[in-house]
Amino acid sequence: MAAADSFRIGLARLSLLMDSTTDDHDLWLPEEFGSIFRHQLTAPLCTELAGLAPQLGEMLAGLRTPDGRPVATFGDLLRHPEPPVALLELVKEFAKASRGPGRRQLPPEVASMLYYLSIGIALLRCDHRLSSLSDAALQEGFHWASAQPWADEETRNLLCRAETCFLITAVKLRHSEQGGTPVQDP
Amino acid sequence: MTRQRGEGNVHFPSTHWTELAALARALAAGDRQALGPLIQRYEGPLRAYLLRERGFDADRADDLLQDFFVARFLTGDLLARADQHRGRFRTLVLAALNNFAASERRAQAAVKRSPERWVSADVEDLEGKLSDADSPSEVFEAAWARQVLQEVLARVQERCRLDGRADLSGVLECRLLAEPRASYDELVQRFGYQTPGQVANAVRTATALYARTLHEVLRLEARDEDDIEELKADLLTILGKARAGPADARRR
Repeated sequence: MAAADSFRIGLARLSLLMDSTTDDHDLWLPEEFGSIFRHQLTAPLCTELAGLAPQLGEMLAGLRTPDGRPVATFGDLLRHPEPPVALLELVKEFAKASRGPGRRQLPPEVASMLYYLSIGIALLRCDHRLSSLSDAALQEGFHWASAQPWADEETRNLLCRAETCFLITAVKLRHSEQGGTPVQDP
Repeated sequence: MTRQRGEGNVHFPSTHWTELAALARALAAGDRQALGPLIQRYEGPLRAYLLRERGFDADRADDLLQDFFVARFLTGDLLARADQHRGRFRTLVLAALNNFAASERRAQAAVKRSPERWVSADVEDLEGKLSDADSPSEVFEAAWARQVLQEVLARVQERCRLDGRADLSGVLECRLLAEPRASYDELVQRFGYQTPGQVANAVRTATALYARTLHEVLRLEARDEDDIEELKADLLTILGKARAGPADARRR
């Protein structure tokens, strides 16, 4: 490949390159969030989560996808019909850490998507609440995540269902407080 | 000057040019390796100046430059006098070239026994080409800036190759320097990164390597560390002017 011509790049970008102390301003482009999210779903669990759980190998041992393969990637785990809650907890913690200050491994938006996705899956498939956030905060988070244009259809549908759970719960609660008959589940 | 880590047989000076002046005086005859990078940096820009701004033909330009480097750089004369100079090192080099050419002209005129008319024509031609020595040369400045950036890229590529991290120089070229820049998917496909974290780390490392190498390259022309930051500002100013087009076009 011919050597890149530094003369052609924008002055703003060259200025950022010249300064090694600049933050991650130019690291990710918003139009790439979908690609980054999809890439994260293919990332090996043992590479990304090992720092959070020394016993990760044991947690993954014997865990198989519906078609018989070992669960190895984020996507394998998040698409599993009965994912172990402990592993979903690790994904949530990984996402939370990726949103934090310092050298982020993901754009904050993609980390947030992963965060709410892990919580939503735990709610819908494991009937388990991973987060101590309030219902309103979780509902808002699911709504935000499902509205992201770069989310794939499967992810969007799951997040919408998770948001709907809170909407129904909220309606039931209001109805109960007002002394009405119990709302039947759909 | 010391070899820098991971550079194998590649020798990159890591000192300010004021230290080179002392080194140049101490060098044994024929042992001029330390000054090589500085000469290589200026050969192109000075040639561009002679050809495009002063109308020299290629052969005359090359002859003059060869004599200039031998007479002024390799003897340490230029660097020694640069101690007294308060402006930019490249300004000194350009002025020195113009002065050298003028004194060469005077020496030739003194030696030649040709008819005065012929000598006068040759002298006038050379003076006409090299007058106005104090005005800044945008051609020279732009060529200097391009040379510096190309040198930075070449050093980064060599370091990455020696360290077994060709992917970093690749990321630098296709994602950080190229227009249009490579997409995220292209980075993953081309370099085989398994996670977004690996991509992010590669981009950060390539960025830091470029900044560090630029700093080292500019150090050779700087009086001190503060001067390096001013040289970076010079680069951006020169690039801005180069993009805006020729001076006369900008004034319209």
